[in-house]
Amino acid sequence: MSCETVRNILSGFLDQPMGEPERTRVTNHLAACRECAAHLAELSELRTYLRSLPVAPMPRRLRTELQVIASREKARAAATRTLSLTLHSWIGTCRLAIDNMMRPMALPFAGGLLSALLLFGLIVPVLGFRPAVRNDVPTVLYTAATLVEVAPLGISDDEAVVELSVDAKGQATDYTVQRGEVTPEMQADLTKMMFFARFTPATSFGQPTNGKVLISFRRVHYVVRG
Amino acid sequence: MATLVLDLNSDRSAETAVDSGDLALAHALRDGSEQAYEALLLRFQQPVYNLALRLLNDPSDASDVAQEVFLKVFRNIGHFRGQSSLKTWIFRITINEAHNQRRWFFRHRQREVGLEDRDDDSGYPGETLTSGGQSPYDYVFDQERQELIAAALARINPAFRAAVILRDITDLSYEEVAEVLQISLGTVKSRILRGREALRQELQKKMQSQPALRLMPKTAE
Repeated sequence: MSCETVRNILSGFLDQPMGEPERTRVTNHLAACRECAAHLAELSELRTYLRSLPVAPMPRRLRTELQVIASREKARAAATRTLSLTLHSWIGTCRLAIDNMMRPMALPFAGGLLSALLLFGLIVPVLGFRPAVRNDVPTVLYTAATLVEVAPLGISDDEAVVELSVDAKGQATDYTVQRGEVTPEMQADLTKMMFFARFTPATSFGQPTNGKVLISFRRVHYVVRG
Repeated sequence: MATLVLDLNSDRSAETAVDSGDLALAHALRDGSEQAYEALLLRFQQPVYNLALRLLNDPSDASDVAQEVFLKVFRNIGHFRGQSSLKTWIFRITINEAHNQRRWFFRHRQREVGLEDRDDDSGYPGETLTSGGQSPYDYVFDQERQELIAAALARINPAFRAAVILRDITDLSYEEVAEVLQISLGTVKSRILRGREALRQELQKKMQSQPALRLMPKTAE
């Protein structure tokens, strides 16, 4: 047996059983060859050193982490054993995820909303919004009819309070005397006045409608001196 | 004259037979037994960490690998059919995870410097002293020799390193090594031979500068 052949099987010679003829040949070679014997001794010593390497102690944190992994995996395995448990576990996981997501946002969200309301309440009155169109129809439910222009006609000397009915076109259609006495002259004057006067019709939800206007006739005395 | 220490493990093949205890443990894990989880950790956490540490030579990476290994073991215990022993099955996962970790390291973390504090109980010499009767000189000598061997082990080809570690440190039989590495028995023999030879040469290179640490064949007394 050559040295090269022996060295190729020395490792196996150390570890494993070998057939008796081959074993005898290797042993005979080792007895005759100091170099191969020394090589085998080195390999044997090396193996002893490798086996004597100390077992490194596990970090304490790793022990804890492995316990946590075991516990979590056990719970996971238990949760997936039946369909109802799987569903229950899934719902629990979703609920926990939503809770974890929303809880940190709850306080900032509430604070933000309250701050926004407070600022809105403080700023809006200061801004003093004005309507952009002057003759805009007020958006109240009902507006009364109003007098725009009266014909410059003379009225008799009597005093009276008359309620005029104004249609949707702004025309006076009828009248009722509320106070005072109506003479035939005054009746004629009122008919002329109704014909020539102009009114703004009453509105309901922005649409022209029939309304009433109360007009008071009063005597006026002018004293001219000089 | 040099004494040849021969270790003929003729009974090793018996270890490859699947232990009925392994199957019982696997069944208990599938049934969700708390004791089974505890037992599995108690039995394998230290060997798995030790194997990962020897393969990667980094405590932090070894911790990561150990966590990944047990996560996979717990999740895939249903796939364990008892065709191999639980030990070789778990060691195979460890080898694969260590391989992935090494690849990931070379891609991403090669130039990073860890900021993690060392754990107060890892690497503390007081816990690694094996003999209370050692003299300080012997203790320092042993420490240096162990560091040299660990460093040399880290420098050899990873494929050879895995075979040597599984055989000489984890103490698996050739058949078990073949199962763990999923290679043929002949390849196992070849890798162990070449791994030991590479390791011997690495150590010789180092020891030329430190003769006191030279591999010395024991003489017969």
